[in-house]
Amino acid sequence: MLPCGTRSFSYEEDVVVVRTRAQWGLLIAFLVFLFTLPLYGSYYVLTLLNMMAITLIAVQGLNLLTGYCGQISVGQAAFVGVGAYISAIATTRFGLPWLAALICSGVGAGVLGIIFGLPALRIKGFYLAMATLAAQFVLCWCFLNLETWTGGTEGIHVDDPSIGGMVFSSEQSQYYLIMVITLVMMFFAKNITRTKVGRAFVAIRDNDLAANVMGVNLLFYKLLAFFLCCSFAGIAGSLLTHYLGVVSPEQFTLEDSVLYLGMLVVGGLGSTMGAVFGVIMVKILNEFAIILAPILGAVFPWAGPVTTHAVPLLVYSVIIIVFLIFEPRGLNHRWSIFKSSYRLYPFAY
Amino acid sequence: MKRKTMIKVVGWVALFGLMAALVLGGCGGAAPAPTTEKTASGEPIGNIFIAIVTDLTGPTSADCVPNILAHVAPFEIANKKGGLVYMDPKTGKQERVTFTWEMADNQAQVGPCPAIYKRLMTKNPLFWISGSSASTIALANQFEQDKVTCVSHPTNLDVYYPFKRYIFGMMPSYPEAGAAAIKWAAEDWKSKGKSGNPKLAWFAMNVPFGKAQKTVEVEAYAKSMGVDIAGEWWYPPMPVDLTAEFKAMEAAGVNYTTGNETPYQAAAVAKEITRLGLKDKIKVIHSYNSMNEPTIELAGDALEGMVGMGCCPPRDDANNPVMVTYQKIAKEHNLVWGWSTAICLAAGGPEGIEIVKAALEKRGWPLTTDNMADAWEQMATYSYGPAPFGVLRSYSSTDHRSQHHMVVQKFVGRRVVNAGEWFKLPDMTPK
Repeated sequence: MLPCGTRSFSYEEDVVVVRTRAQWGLLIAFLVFLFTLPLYGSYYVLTLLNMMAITLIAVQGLNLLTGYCGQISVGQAAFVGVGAYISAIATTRFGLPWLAALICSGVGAGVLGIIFGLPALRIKGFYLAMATLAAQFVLCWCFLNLETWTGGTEGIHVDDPSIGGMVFSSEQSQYYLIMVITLVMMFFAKNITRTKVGRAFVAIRDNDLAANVMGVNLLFYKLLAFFLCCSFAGIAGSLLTHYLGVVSPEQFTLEDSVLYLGMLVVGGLGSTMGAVFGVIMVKILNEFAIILAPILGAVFPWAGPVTTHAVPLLVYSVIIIVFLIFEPRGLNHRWSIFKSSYRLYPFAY
Repeated sequence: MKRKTMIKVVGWVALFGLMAALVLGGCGGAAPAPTTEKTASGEPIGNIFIAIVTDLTGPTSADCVPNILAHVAPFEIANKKGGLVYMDPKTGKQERVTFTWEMADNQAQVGPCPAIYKRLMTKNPLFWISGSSASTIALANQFEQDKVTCVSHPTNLDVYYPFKRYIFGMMPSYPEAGAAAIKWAAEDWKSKGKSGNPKLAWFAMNVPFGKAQKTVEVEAYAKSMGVDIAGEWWYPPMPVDLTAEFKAMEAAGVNYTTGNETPYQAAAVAKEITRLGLKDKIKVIHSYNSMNEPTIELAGDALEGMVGMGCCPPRDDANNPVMVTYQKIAKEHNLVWGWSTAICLAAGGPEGIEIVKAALEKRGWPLTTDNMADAWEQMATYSYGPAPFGVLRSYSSTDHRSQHHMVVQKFVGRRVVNAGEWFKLPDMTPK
């Protein structure tokens, strides 16, 4: 629903994202807040936001594949790992600059995504999920066993990211770097969905047979979806490994892949903002569980640390389940309803 | 309908508000500086905050939880007595400090560690306890960068390189344990008068923990000891039938196997090799994680005569006054007398208390993390009676070993007994 008093007189106006002056103002205010946060935010908040931003890149990629193109992937964490290892190997073994390693991570993970996405041409739904699950296990096996390249269980320690002579070693400098890249990737993801490619994805999602009949090349667009999804994952992996300073096989588990999918479902499939809402919601719930535990421990000292840490995890899981029951279309749908009612107020329709 | 919507909206806002409040509350600013009030009545001059990150609800929690409870038990004992009493050089009086700690759950994963680290650092911990190898891997560089001392449970070797002043290990790293097994295999082979090189196979779970002993340094060490690495065989975390693996090893002429394992895997390996009648042909060298009662409960007589590497005296060793003391402490505090309870009591507890006391009596209150690091380095020669174990050590620039000693142990009559003298670990510096 458009804001009151706005109309589109051309196709370009119709697809614009930021339309009114108020929206521009809000966007600029948000960007100012985002980039001035390190001046007054604690390190804990910056760390949380850094991890959220990196996760958001991976989830946006998954959104393109699963939300827009309708191809389920339960191996996203493995492709994040591919990007992480490519970046680590490129910088430590080949001495490539970090920016070049970032691009290699994206492209390399994308190419691997095409290989594992080939089954998507023949299978879908549950069977495609199993195929991508195979990718998760195969790639994790490679991380663990190709020791000459990956370091095996010891992993690879990497240096801080640098561009030119500028080294991003502090939490604040890494925050700026990660936020800029995240905004660029968000912009890219949003624009993909507004182009012919995005429309082809949606057509495939809704009915791939009809899309094929209409002239949408399934082979090309499905593989492109996998390429884009895994490229996003690769870039997230490169950022993650240089942020943490280490890459090890234990960082890219099946649990992470399922969590990415869960974030997408909670936030709302098929929308860029849905991925944002999902990541923020799940990460905050996770932190809520972590912070609640010592409070419970202080209130109920007889319960012991295991119980006091397990109860918040249960609460967090129950909230997610309750949420999925009462709002299966995700937070983005709830946001859309809020926007509509706000724009229509005081009218009901 | 409108009322229902209002209730829903209020509910959502309240939920998000509560979570946001908790998260923002957890951010905090810097914790208030410890008080330096002088008190004639002996009230605490300050409080030492200990930050703990370990696996409380994840896949390795069965090991990590008893360890960490043992680690903090001595601090609880000190608190019950009103705090740690010492002579403060700055005030010239007898003062006391209390201990508080907060445990954070990383579920044996690297991912949550940065946020946990930043959150707990706002509370100005004097030192950290890293109870999960994943957390030390994730935070090793952070501890060095921020100059924060950390007591680490077993982890990989590479977290100690390049040289880390602020990380102190309390048990051998996994590769060191692997090297100790190789050393014993070479000596055992020689002692039996056999010619040629013995063949050793890696045999453990096909997960990072299981493979942690197999590193480039350890394999180079094996070569230098004249032990041939025959290959690697892996099993899932819950092995049931290991016939194929053992038969393949037999065909390959394997003489010894080793690898990281927990009691379940150790028991499964023992039962399978006994069933197949290969116990004398292929010697399984168990890891220190499994030289304990849970393994005996699971495998029973199948373990008879099997050897393993130990970094802790047998837990029922009545000749070791330290073990007797620790067993008593464990009983008083309802601690699970697990495989590393004694070590954790040692590293966290009496030794830890002695170290803090020594640092306080040298420097006075408040202590810095550098003071703790200095104190731990100086306590490296602390004596534990008949057995040298559980001493906190850092990998110094000249001595690249955390724990200096291990001992070969054996399962005899459903008990763990020492089968040799404590020996020095080889230097596993990466070449």
